[in-house]
Amino acid sequence: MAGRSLSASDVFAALSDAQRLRLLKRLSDGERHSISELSNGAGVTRQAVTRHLRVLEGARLVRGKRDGREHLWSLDEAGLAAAQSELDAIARAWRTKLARLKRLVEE
Amino acid sequence: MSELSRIEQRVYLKAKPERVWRALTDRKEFASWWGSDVNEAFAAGKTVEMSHAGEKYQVDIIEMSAPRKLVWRWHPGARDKTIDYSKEPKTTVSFDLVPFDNGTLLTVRETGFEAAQLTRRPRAFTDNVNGWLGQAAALGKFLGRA
Repeated sequence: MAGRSLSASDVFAALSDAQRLRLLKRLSDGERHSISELSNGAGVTRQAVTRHLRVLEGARLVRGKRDGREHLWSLDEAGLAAAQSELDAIARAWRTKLARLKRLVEE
Repeated sequence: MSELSRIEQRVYLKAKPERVWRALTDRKEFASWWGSDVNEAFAAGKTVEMSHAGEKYQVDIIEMSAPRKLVWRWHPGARDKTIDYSKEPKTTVSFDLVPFDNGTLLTVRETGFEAAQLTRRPRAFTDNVNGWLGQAAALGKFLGRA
């Protein structure tokens, strides 16, 4: 995915699914996991897990890396940080404006 | 999961809803705290143009129910001249005013980020690695965002 820019819409679309959230939470242990580990006990097929991981990969939230015959998945730390900072910037802009509004109406 | 695609902030203002409403909808008052000039008076169904430091952007006023609710739609985030915004989906911003303890509880929500493109420009990703612990904390914060 190198060179591809991140869009927050990709991020939110990626997060708008319970299975994908489950996968993210699972991967937030910081370890690399195989598809079979990630499918275990989830009540979904490996194919479905793979499909969800691809969506998360598209939003730069996770990364897949081939290791021998297996694909191992982990969080994409750079993409995650970028998504976080994008949202933080918008939230910060709102806070600044609302603080100015507060000063104005409480004068 | 819809709470993951919104920004919500709530602030208590020591002023009656009518006073807050004026600050939100009067052109001059709005400009003084928002930081952009507005080309004409707000009215439901109207698209007003705001400008800040030579940058112009459009805001569609959807609802004005004095002194309770103001809703608009716009393109969120910083402007980027390389993007044709006419093709981009918009987010919805709502200001809800509720009388509270001699003042006003103002809730601002911005929703619809799942459809709107915030940025497409290439971004220099920081390569500093805070370690997995930091990333896990960032993810927790991200997922917990209300």
